[in-house]
Amino acid sequence: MQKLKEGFKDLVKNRNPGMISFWIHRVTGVAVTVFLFLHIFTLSSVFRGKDAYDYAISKFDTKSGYIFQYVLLLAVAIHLLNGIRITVADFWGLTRSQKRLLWLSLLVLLLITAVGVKTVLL
Amino acid sequence: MNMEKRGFWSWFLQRITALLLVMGMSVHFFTFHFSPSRYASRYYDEIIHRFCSPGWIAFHICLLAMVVFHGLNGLWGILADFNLSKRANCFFRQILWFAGFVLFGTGIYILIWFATRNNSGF
Repeated sequence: MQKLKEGFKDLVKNRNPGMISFWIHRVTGVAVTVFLFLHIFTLSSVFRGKDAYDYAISKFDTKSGYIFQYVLLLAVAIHLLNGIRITVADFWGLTRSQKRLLWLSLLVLLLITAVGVKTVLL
Repeated sequence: MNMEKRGFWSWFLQRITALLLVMGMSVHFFTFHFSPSRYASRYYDEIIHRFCSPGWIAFHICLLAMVVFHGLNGLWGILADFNLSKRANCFFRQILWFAGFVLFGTGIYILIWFATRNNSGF
């Protein structure tokens, strides 16, 4: 708990884009991992037959289900784009350009956000 | 993710699975969230039809293995940052291994279930 408090203090003190993206990466990572449990749990309803499976899936075909899927898409997209940024900076020695890479990932995220509205929400 | 605390392979495999997941998740998201047939593709009849293909089953087995590893290894990385005691470390590691086996085992069972519902599958 002490370490978590220190981490939050760090975030408050150093409000730079790198620190914020580090925290967002961790939060989205944990959220998507938690979703993985829900995903497997939902799919496991197939063991109770076709109707039970279709009923479980139909819960995601509601207004709140679409919003949930949209939030999930954004969480995955944020985690994925930031992950690519970290890997590119690490493996190709582009640490100096990491801020520029962050803005580039934000641009791609904006695109996914816009396309997601059309394909997931509408 | 801290390489010193985690060991090289944990860090390296996290990066490799991340890169492979970029492709895997893109295919998964396109099929179930972006493609014109995304609504029908989630339901039983369409899933059974889709899982006739050994390639599609192999793709999902790989995706499942990578996503379970990446998610739980990521959680392990976060826990390692908390400098836990040796006992707590051991406890959480066992929990994560157990969660991994349950998730992967259930996921594989679901995939086998889908694949064997159709006579032409597997």
